[in-house]
Amino acid sequence: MSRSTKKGPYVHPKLWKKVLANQSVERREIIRTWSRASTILPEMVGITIAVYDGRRHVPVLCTENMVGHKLGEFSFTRTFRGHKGKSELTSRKR
Amino acid sequence: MDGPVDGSVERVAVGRINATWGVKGHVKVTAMTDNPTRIATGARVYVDGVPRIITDVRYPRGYPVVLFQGFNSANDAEALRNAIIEIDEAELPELPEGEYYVHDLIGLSVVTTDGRDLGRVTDVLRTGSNDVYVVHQHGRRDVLIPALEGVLLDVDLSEGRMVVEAVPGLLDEPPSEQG
Repeated sequence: MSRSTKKGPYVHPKLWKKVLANQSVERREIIRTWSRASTILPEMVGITIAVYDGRRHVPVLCTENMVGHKLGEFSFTRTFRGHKGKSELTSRKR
Repeated sequence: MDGPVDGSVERVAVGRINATWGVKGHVKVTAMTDNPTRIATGARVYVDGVPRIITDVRYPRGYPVVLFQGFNSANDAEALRNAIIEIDEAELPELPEGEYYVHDLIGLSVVTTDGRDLGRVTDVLRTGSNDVYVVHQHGRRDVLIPALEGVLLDVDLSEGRMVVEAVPGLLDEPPSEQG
């Protein structure tokens, strides 16, 4: 069952406070949070939030197409032990 | 890239076969490539070192399901379970500026702009947004570096070095108060 629209999206109050404080800063810092259940709101776009995966905080840049999703969706709690050798996977900076 | 010392051809994994699919010899594959043309009909690959041709590819639930030439039943395909699909390393395309193969990034030493040594890259995490480089140094907590414009300043594969900007919150110890 989905959350009642009357309540609005859930964001942990301490995280929300940090997001609002970070918006006015020129050099944005990485915000650490344990709140995986918090919803990504438009105010978080452009902010990097380090989301706890049960072991460490995984830094995730919030983008427009992530709005409405939960922070936990971008910080996986399980480790995929893939192929140890070389693979064709690539990485680039955003 | 340097080849192996014994002169044999080095191969690169592009997928792993998980299980059979259907009754006609198809197998489910976990792709280990970002190149969409790699697992395609007509592609020549190595499966556990044996050259094979892909004759059919489907995407029933978003993941690739592949049929190899010579496999006509699920019983035949059962032999391919857990096999690695590979290509010759020479077939890897040149990447555009700013994009790197994950296996080239593993082992790079990471330093900050003020010269602080953070350790070596041991893993690359994919978050769905930006990639994250896991940097490990013996006896210290792992540092997670987001592959973002303002953080990752330079990657020098020839020198085996990566320069990062220690933005606020990147290297700090987590506070005791959660939020």
